[in-house]
Amino acid sequence: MKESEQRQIFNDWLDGYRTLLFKVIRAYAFNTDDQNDLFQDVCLQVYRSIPNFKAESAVSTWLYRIALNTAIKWSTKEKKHADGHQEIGTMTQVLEIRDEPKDERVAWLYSEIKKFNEIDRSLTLLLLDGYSYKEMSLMMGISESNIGVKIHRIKKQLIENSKQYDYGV
Amino acid sequence: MEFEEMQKIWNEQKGETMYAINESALHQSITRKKNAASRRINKVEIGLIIINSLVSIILLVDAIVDKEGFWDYAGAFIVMLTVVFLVAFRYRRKKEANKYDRSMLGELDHAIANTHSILQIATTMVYWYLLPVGFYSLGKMIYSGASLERWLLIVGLYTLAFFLVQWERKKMHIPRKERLLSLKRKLMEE
Repeated sequence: MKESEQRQIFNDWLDGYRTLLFKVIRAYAFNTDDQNDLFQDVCLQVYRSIPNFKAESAVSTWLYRIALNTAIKWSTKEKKHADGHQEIGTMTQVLEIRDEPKDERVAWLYSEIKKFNEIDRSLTLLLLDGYSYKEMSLMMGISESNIGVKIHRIKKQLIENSKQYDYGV
Repeated sequence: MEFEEMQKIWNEQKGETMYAINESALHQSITRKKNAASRRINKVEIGLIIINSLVSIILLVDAIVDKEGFWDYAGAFIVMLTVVFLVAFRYRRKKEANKYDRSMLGELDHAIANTHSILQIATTMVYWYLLPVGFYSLGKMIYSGASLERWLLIVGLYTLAFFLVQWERKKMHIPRKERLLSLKRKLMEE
């Protein structure tokens, strides 16, 4: 595949699926520098994955898988900006926060997602975006029954915590 | 709030853009990171292979020129063994890179295997490189009657190298492997 062709596909994907990528970034990175760092890592992996994309799955599924896998591995990095180990000045700023979601309940959902461990965060994003157990099982590499157990626990926690939110509003 | 309601709220994000992307900076960053990542993967292995090959050749030439150079022959042989090991190690690592699937579990297994490889190299550096080459240097110094300053310098350098390799192992690679294993446990547990 030619470099120009790969770049064109990358630009098309970025235009069409940026919200999906942003969801993952926001669920795994909690300050601007970390979000920039993770977004660049995700974009690099997406770019590299283009020659391997065989259209056996939807582009959104492919991108979700790459973004989540990158975010999971990124979360084990020693030098995240949140740790304060890396010079913030040397960081390339490619993302700028533009709009906070209009519905404050979206912000509440993100704050709930952050409370889960790294694996459950991935499942919660997929669950909220309507993926089936079978699709999740393929993306995560674990059995559907294991997915079912985790999802049950996640839903229970979300619903339970939403009661406090409902009372607070 | 019911879960279905949460999904509806979640779907409201579709028309929203949380961030603005500086696309030219993004493309520059991708190009830079792409090159840096390829360099990082090969740097340690290829660097060690080249350095050790050169050291081995120098020792071998020394041994041939200096007719009584048993220690140079022994040293060249030891260092050449490390080159053979590194080449075999690199070949095996590359061959195994394609066996992992693209699921989260596959990616985690791959990352764990990569970290394990780095740990193996660090361990090998200590027990199969620094120690044999260290003993070789000491043997040669005893044989040739080296000065006290030379003894202090050589022993000091080997001790420093030993602690640096151990420090890198303990502070960077072992914690990362543990974090990856912990993620795998979280993924597998019910």
